Amino acid sequence: MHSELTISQADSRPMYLQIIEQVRRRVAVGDWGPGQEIPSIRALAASTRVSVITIKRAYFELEHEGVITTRQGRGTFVSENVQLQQDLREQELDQHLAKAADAGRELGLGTKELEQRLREVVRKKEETR
Amino acid sequence: MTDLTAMTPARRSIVGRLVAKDLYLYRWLITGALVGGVLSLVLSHFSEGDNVSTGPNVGILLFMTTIIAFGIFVAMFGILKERQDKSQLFVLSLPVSPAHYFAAKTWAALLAFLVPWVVLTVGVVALTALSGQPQGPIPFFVVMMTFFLGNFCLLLALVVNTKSELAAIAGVLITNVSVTLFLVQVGRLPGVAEHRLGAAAVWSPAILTVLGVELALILLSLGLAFYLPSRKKDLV
Amino acid sequence: MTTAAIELRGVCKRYPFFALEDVSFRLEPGQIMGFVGANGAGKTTTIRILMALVRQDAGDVELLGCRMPDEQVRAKWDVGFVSEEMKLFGGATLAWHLGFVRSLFPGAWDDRYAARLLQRFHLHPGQRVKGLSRGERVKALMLLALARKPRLLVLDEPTAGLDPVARQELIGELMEILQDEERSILFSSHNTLDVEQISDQITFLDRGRIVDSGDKEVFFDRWRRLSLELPEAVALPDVVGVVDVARSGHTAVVTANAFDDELPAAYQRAGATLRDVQRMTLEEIFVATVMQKRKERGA
Repeated sequence: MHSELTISQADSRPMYLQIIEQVRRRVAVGDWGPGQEIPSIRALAASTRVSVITIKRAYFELEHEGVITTRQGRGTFVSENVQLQQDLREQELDQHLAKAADAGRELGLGTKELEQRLREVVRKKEETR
Repeated sequence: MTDLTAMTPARRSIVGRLVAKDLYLYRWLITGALVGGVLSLVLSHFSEGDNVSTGPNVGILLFMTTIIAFGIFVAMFGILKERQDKSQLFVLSLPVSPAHYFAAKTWAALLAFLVPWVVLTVGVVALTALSGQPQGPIPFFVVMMTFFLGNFCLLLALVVNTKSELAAIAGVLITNVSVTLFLVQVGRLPGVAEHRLGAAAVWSPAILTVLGVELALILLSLGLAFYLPSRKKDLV
Repeated sequence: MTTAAIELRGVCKRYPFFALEDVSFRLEPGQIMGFVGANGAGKTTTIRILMALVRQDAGDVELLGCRMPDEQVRAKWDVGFVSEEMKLFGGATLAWHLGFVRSLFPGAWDDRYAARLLQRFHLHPGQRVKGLSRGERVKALMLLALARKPRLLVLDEPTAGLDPVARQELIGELMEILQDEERSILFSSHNTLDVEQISDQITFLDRGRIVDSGDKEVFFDRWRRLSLELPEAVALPDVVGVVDVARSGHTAVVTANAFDDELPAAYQRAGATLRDVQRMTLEEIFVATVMQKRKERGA
């Protein structure tokens, strides 16, 4: 199983979070489909050259979130949940929106002004399409 | 995956393999000593003097130097250097006990020295006996060769037990200085001196006593070389 | 409880100017332990005691369940040891060394693996050992230790002196080994980045004593650096879990080793503004740990 995950030590975020995010990303873009088998903890540790304990933690969190499931003796798989891809993409969107909300608040914008700015930005993007 | 219990038979041959390894690494030294020894004996045969009244000739001196130097090389470069160089760390990472490691080093060094020693000693004695030449010098020659063997064993005991280059060099110096002293003193002993130029080989009580003392010292040195290292607690 | 790959209990060793005191730790099978310490902290001495090169004055040492140094031969059949000061035999070629070790471990030596490693490490069997560079020598020693697939690897500064490419290759090989959950690795290193990346367990050693040991992820969760802003006149409360507070003018930098959400709140209640909470690198954690322990000891 070819792993396309890469961990950067230059990235200030903890390694287990990078793993979690990259797995979510793979599922979100559809590279890893529902029910697809993914590398075992030790296999992923070897291919990313990251400690087993870190991968274990990432997989634990991912399982907790419902993104992956482990079947004892059979391996680790992406959740069968077909809604998952959509859900993850929506989660990502929410994260971006949360960041935008924080930035807006710091500028002192109210909710109505924030909505207006969003409309402006979308309109501009439509024009340049 | 190795099964620890199945390893027992192979374990016993580790010492053998280590000895073979050392002999392989000594191969050029041994060959050099053999060739040098033979050449210097040939030179001695064609040189002036009878080695008794006129003192050792050039050939004999070269011969003695070859044997002594060979012994020093084996002791210093074979054993001491390996310890200083930490190549012993590599060997000790293998399944061998420190006692067996040191025993293997000592056996290998001894065997390496014995190859030219036996060849040259037996060679000279046999050639002299078969050639019809006067055999008077033979007992003294054997005493001399045994003295070199004794010096080597002493050096071995020293080098296997200390890491100090200084101690080894001191040992080399003392054993070397003693060569001339020994040869002159023993050469003049009553019971030895008068038979050296004779036609027959005379194994007088004097000669036999000297040989006996030499052999005792050899056994003592080898005993120390084999026994003491196994008591060591820290190998580094 | 399964047999530990390595277990030390109360190990002591005294030298004229240095002593190892009460060194204890455990490495479970299937894990990598990174051993971190300054020069002279006792890493090499501990490893030497592990490998029976030095006999401990007190304490128990077990490697794969074998008591050391008494059962060292049995242990060494399944332990690979490489230290940076180790050397091969100058008068022989790499091929000769391969043959030599191979003949000692007939069942365990993997020819194809050895060939792969030769390629990966860019080594040529015909090379004379004398002509090897330092990095090549370390790689050759690694190869000889790895090709017989020992259950435990003990490595003293394995990446020291290796160029970045060789380091990555070696780390890759070490991580490959961990795919087998029966195999374990202990390695000591100055390079905290390597330790940070691949270790499951980390042990800190300073001046002959273990100053901390545990799960890597827990280390990174516990330690934080907080940046606070507060008026000079305001005193900061003593908070549990904090090892150091550095104040300068309006700012204070708090180093904590038992971080939880309550911690910044305690400072905020005292009137400080929380500017930033940052995770710490292993190097920072190590230095802070050592500084704290030395302060405690009054050194």
